[in-house]
Amino acid sequence: MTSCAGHAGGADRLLLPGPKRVSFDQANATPAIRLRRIKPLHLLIVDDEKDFRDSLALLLQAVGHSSIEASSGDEALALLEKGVSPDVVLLDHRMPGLTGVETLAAMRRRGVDAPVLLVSAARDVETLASEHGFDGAVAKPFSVDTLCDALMAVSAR
Amino acid sequence: MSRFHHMTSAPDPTAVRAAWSDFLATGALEPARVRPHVLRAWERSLRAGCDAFLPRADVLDGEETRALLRRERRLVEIATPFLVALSRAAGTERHAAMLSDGQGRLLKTVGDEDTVADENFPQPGSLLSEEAAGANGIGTALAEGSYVELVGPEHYIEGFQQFTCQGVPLRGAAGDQRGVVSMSVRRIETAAKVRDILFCASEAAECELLAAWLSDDLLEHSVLESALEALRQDMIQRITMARLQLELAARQIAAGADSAGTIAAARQLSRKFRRQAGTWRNLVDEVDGVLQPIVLGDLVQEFADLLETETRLAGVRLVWRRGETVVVLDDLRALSQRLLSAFLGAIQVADRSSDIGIAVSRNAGKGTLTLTSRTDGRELHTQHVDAPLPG
Repeated sequence: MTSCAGHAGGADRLLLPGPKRVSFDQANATPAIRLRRIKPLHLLIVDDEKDFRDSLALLLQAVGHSSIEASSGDEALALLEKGVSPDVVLLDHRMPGLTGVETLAAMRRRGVDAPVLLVSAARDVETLASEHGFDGAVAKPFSVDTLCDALMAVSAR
Repeated sequence: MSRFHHMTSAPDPTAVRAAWSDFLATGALEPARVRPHVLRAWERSLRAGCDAFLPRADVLDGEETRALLRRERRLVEIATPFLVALSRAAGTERHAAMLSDGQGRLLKTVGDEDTVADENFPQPGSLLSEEAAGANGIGTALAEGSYVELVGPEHYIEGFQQFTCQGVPLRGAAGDQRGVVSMSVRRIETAAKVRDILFCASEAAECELLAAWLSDDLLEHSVLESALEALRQDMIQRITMARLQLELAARQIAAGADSAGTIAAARQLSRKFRRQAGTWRNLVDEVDGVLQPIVLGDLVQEFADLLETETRLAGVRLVWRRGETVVVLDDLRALSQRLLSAFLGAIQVADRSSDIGIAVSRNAGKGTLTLTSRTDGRELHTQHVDAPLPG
């Protein structure tokens, strides 16, 4: 603030910190990295590949979700029977033992009604998901933003 | 020569600015005054008639830009998640992650709004080849065919000299330059921070380009479609993991956390994918009947690696003690297809918890792969693949 004795008026400046810079997708004129308000979810990741589960778990944790992992359909069913209660299940299709489709059917027979996303590299993943009663599908390869959009969509239902 | 051979220590901007002024005045420069790739880029810019103070504004109109983006839709789709990851890694720094086509035409930019929404910043449809825009992160990467870094006054056009730019060419399946991924930042410290993830992103994007080409362009022409579908999904799993690691690294970098391990893991996945893609390509490439010497054991190892997921899903174990080196003379595609059929057949007949013994030997003028499926020491099935020895 500036002012001088005997002179009318003065000047002040209040400097506020600028807004955090947000990544901007020029071609689409939209924010590329959306500052989303997420509802933290507890997820069950079912995939036979440990490195994939670990990578995905770390990334989901970085965006605010927690997770528990299973390496097969049988292991997932065992966890659910022990009382694990995920908000959403992320289910691969091609696994040793039960496939993703078979695992989903077994879950529903056991009365597990958590939403289930098919996460698969199959060419026709959307069709596979809709024909077998999945609540949604995410095609590999995917970005975590795409996965988070799908999680928000199914968990809101 | 490595695609990343232009990595040298950062220059003194004041000295480079003086060198730039002298070069513009005289058209020549003592080589030691700037980095070698910079002098080459300046010389190309001068020969092309580039005006350092008034760049040639070569920008496509709206309809032409839309047509360009339609033609390059796949490249943009594949590269966009990597541009977003690069942008995330830059955090709150002023930056722009950019994608161009193989001629230097800008396709997409992701960055902070102050930078990319600036009316003076290149828009999609702008030509950033060296002929149009002088030495810059996109045009010079294309001209050099490798990673380049241009710090401030190393740019030929004065208007670009507020940036430090890095660019890496993206190569398609045939080794052609499909485009450039580049990163422009205001602060040189930020450039150093994002260099490794830029390399990682370019490698991962190339893998996804290769996977898309293999999936769409080759599978539909191959009699092995059903067998290859399983392998295709394995490869998609590999590139998915590389992408997840890269996204994790971007967040670590933005948070100032150590990302070296994550980036190393992602790059290893990309390398593994490339090796497997080479094997896959041998299966379906339509190059007929060329006989070549092949180390049979090396090719067998490639298939054992390629079928790692299949064997895990089937619950079988491959058991192999490599012995003598056997070189055969055969058509690589035909031999690869026979080996794949043999492996898949062995996996199919094996019980869960079986072993599949692998042996490569030389018999009566032939090199032979023998696959023996065993459970509890009991032999279930044996098959052989023969290939002629040279001479």
